[in-house]
Amino acid sequence: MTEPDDDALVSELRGLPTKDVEPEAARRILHVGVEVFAETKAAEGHPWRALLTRATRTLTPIVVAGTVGVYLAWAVSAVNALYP
Amino acid sequence: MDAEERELVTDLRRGNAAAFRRAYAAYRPRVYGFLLRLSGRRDVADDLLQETFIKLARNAASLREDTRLVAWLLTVARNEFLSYRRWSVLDITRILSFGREQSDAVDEGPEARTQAQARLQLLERGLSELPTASREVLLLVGVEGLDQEEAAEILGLGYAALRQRLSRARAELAQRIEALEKRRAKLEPKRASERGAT
Repeated sequence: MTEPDDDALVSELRGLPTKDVEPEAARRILHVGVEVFAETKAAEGHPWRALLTRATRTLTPIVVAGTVGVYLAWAVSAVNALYP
Repeated sequence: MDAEERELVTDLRRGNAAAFRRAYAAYRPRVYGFLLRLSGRRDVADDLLQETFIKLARNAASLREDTRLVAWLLTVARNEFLSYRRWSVLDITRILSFGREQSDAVDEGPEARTQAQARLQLLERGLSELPTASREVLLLVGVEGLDQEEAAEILGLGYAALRQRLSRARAELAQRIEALEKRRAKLEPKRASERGAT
């Protein structure tokens, strides 16, 4: 059961001014959102496309991290080989 | 939940792009204000606002018919903020600016001179100095005017725990405001004499 909150200080907080994002940023965010919304809607009829998107999103950081790891391991072993 | 919101949710579920635009226009200022006051930084609030609405775009089809959009969006926004905060430990620009950060949510300018404006500024400043746990509960219940049960759900708390946190947060805010008022009263004669000298 929710109790009404009549605390004066909390009520005063309701009077704080509304903050909004800069118009240019607001337009950019809307643009990105609408694009993602349309992509998601389009992928609905093609489950394989949604799966591919999800797989790409998951695999990309793994591949990048893996490549960096392999390169670092190679670099360390190369330096060790040069200065044994 | 009113009929208009229910209709908006239905349209979003159907993949209506105009509904997404409507939701963005209707809820953007509330979500942005929440994020700005939570993070204290405009650039961070911008990014998290974008992430929040991208989540809405991706999950619109799976919204439940009875979803309260504002509560859903604020829950996502809060989770995005918590995730940002975990990663920001590694953010070098944030580390470098440590100690000279001032909340972007607080506008201190010559316009804040009337008594009412000065009071709002004091509230804003006091709020920005609170720990996150206290600030978020006051933002949801106070600034956003959400139902306490809804706020408890967003914060993942039981009702009793929310009441307790709210009460502690109120006390903390009152203390900060008192301290800020004292500091201001102490500085006022000094400022007045400086103004007189120029």
